[in-house]
Amino acid sequence: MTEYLLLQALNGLIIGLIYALMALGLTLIFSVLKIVNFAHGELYMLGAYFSYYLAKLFGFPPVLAVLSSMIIVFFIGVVIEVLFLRPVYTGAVERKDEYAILITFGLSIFLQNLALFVFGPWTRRSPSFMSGTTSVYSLSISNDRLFVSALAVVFMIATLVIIGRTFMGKGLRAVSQDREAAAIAGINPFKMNLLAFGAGSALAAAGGALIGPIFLIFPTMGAMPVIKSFVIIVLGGMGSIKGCIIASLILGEAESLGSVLFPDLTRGLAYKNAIGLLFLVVVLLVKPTGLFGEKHVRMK
Amino acid sequence: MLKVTKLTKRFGGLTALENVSFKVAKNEILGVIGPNGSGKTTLINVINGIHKPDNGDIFFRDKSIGRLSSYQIAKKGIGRTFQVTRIFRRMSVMENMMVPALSISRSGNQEALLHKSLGILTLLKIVHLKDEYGRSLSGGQHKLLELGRVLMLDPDLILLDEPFAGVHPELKADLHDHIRKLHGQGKTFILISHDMHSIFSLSQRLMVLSSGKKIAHGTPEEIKQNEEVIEAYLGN
Amino acid sequence: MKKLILLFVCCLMAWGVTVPANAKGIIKIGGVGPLSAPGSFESGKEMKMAMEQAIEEINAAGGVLGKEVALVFEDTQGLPEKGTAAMERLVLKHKAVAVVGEFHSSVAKAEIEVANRLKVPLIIAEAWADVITAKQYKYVFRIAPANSLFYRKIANWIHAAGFKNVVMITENSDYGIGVERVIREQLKNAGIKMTSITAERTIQDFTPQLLRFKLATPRPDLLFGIFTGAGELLMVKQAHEIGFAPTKETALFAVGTDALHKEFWEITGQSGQYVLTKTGYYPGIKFTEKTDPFIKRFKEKYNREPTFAAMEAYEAVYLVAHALKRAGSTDPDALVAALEKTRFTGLRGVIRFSLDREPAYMYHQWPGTPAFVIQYTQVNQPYTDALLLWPKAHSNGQLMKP
Repeated sequence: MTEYLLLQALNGLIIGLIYALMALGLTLIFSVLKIVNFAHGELYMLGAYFSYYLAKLFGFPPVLAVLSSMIIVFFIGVVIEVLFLRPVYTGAVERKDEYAILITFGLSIFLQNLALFVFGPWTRRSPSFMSGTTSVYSLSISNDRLFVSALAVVFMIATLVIIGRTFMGKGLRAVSQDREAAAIAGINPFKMNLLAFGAGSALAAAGGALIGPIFLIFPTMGAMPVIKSFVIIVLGGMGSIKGCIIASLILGEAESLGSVLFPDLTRGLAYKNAIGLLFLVVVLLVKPTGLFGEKHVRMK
Repeated sequence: MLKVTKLTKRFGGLTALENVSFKVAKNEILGVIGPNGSGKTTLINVINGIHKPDNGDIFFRDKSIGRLSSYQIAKKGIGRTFQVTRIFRRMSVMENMMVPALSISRSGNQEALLHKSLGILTLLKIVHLKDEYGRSLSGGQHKLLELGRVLMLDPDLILLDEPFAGVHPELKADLHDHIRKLHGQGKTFILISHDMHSIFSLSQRLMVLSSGKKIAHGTPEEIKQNEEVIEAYLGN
Repeated sequence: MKKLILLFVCCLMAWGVTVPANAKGIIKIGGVGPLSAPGSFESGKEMKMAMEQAIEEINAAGGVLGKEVALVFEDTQGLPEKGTAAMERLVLKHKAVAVVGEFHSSVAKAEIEVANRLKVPLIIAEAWADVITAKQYKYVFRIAPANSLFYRKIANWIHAAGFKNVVMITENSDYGIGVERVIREQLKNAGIKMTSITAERTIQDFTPQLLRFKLATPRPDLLFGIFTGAGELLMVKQAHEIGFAPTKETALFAVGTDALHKEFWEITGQSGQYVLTKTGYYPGIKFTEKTDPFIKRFKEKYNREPTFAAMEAYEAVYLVAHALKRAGSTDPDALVAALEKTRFTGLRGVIRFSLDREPAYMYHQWPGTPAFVIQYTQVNQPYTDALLLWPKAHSNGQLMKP
C-alpha cells in the first residue's frame, strides 16, 4: 500500500507539473492584462494539434514540434490581443470586465468549432517523446510521462528566469502591479500586453503539445484543463506566479491521492474533478485571497 | 522648454482645467499652488499623458506632445512622481530602479545601468535598502525611490506632485537638498505642493490655479502680495 | 378597376400558395446526431455520412412516391435540450416526414417525447438505453439493440469464457449506467465476483484506479471498460502502460464504439493488441447480399471502414423510404402502420419490429440485432480482421493472451 501511495504521489506530481504549465500562462495573462482568458483551453488545444501535424505531416522530431507549435500559438495570441483585447485598453469599450469575459468566451466556442471543422472529430495522438515504460519496483510508469514532466519543469524554469531576471520580465511585472506607473517609467503597456498574451498562449500551447501523447488530442480537449487552471489561479491567489505553481502541485496531488483515498472506492473517480473544487472552497473560506494572493485585483 | 497653450480638460460636466497657458524655461523651478480641487494634479496628468487634453496643446522642446501616450512622453524626457507614491510594492528597490531599463536598454548595457542606479540610490541615501521589497519601505523612502526611478530615465523636466506630503522633517530637508542639487545639474522642475514654506523657498516662479483657471503668476514675492491669491485661499 | 385589382391580388395569392407546393417535389427525412461537443461527434459524423450515402442511392434509384428524398440533419450535441429543439425544428419548420438517427441515449430520451407529441415516426439508430422503446410510444422505433438485449449476450460470453473476477469502469452517463446494470445482474446470477466503479465522462487519468486493480489480490482476470470517446482509448492505453491489461493475468474488454474506429490504433499503438471489444457487425459472416456493396461504397466515398453505427444509420434511412413506398403517402399513422409491418433486408439480416410488450423494451424494437465479441490479435488490425470469439456458432478462434 505504501508503495502504491508513493507511486500515486509521483503520478500526482507529474499531473501537477502539467497543470502548472497551463495555469502559468493564464496567470501571466491575468496579471498583466487583468483579463481572465476563457479561450485559454482552446490555445492549449491548438498547441496540441499544431504539434501533432508538424510531427505527422512534416516529420518534425517531437520536441522541435512542441517548440514550433509554441511559436505559432505565440503569434496567434498576439493577433487575438491586437484584434479583440486592445479595445479594452484604448478606452473603446465601456464595460471592460464584461467585454473581456464575453469576447474570450466567444472566442473559445469559435475556436472549438473551427477545430471540429478543420481538424475533424476523430481523436488523435501525437507521437511519443520516448516510448516504453520505466519500472519502479513492481510498478511501471510510462516514459512519456517522465519526459513530459521534465520538459514541463524546463519550460517553467525558463519562464521564471525570464520574468524574474530580464528587463522584459521587470517590465511585465511592473505593468502587472501598476500600469500607469510603469508607463511613467517608459514602459509601453501595449507592448507588454502583447508580450504577456503571446507568452501566455505559448505556455498553454506547450501544455497541450506535451499532453498530446498522454491524454490525446480532440477539439474539446481544452475544456477540462481550463477549468483546472481557473481553480489553480484562484487557489494560488490571482496573479501570483509562486502561488500558481504551488497550487498546481497541490491540485495534482489532491486529485491523485484524493481519488484513491476516497472513502467509497467505487466512486473515487467519479468525484475526481470535484475534489479540486472542494479544496478550493475550503481554502477560500479560510483565506479569501487564495494561498499567496494580496488584495483583490481588478481591471483599472 | 515647455509651452502649454489654452489647455482645457473636462471630466463629464466638471471642468478641471480651463484655458490654462504658461511656459517653463530651461533650468527653471515653477511652483504650482492652489486650493484643493483647483486642477494642479490634473495639470500634471495631462502634461505627462495620463489624460488627453480636450482642447489646447502642450509643446516640449517645440514639439507637440498633447496626443502622445505616457510612455512616449517619458521617453522624450519628462519624468514625474505621484502625490500618493506609485512604486512597485512586490519588487525590490533595485528592481524598481531597473524597470525603466527596458526602454533604455538599447543605449546602455546591464552593467552600466546597474552602476547608474547604484549611483542614484547613493545620492538619495537609500542605497542600503537596495534589496528590500518596495512594500517594506516607509512613506518618505517611497518618495525617494520614486524620484530615483524617475532619474533613471535622465529626464530634463521633472514633475513633482506633493513631494513633501507626509514626509518626516529630516527627510524633507534632504529632499530640498536633492531638488537643489538636481536643479544645479541643469534639470527643470514643475513642483506642486501645499507646503508653502518649501514651495516659496524652492520655486523661482509661481503659478496659482483656482477652479481650473490660472489666476496669477509671478515671482514668489509678487504672489505673496497678490490680493486675488489671498482671496482664493481665504475663500476656501 | 377595383375588381381588377382584387382579381390580381387573388391571382397572386393563389400563385403564392400553389407554386411552392408544386416546387416541393422533395420528401424530407430528418436526421439527428451529435456533430459537436459535448456529444460524441466522431460517431455522429460517421452516421451522417452513412445517411447521406443512403439518400444518394435512393435518389439514384428514382426516389420514392415519384419524388426526391432529402436529408435534413440537425446537430444535437449530446445535449437533451438540443435534441428536443432539433426534433421540433425538423418537424415544424422543415416538415420532415420521419426522423432517424441519434447516438446518445440521454438525447434520444428527449427526442422520443417530441416524436410522440408531434406524431412523427422516429427510428432510433444508435442509442441503446432500454427506456427508449420501453416507453412503448407509437411513433418510436429502434434498430439499435436495447442494452439488455445486447449485453445479455456479452455477459453470456464472459461466463462461457470462464472469467471469475471481473472489474468494471463505467462512465456515469445513461448509457454507461444502463450497460453496467445489465452486466452486473447477469454476472451476479452466474456467481462471478465483480467490482464496479464509475467515473466522469471527461476523466483523463485512470491510472490511480487501474493501479489499485493491478495490486488487488486476487488479481482481476477481466477489466471491462464501459466508456465512449477519448476516455475509452485512454483507459486502454493506460491499462497497458502500467502493465495491468491486456496481460497474461488480465484481459481487457473495451465496450465503446471508439475501439472500432481506425484512430484506435494511432492512439493505443501496442496497447491495442489483445483488446476485446464488441460489434454489431462482422464481415466474415455472410449477412445479406447488400452488406458488401455498402461497405465497398462507404470506403470509396469516405476512405474509412464503417462501423455498425454507420450501418444502422444507413438502414434507418432505407426503412423510412421503404415504409413510404408501402404506405403510399407521408401520413404519419400510415407510416407507422407500414413500419410495423416492415420486413426489410438490411445490411445485417432481415429487419422487422417486434410488437411484444413484454419485456417492455421489446416494443418496436428489432430483436434480431446481432452481437459479436471480437479480439484484436495484431497491432493495426482493422476490426473486420479481428478474431471472432462469440457467438460460438460463428467463432473462428480461441481467446488469445499475450
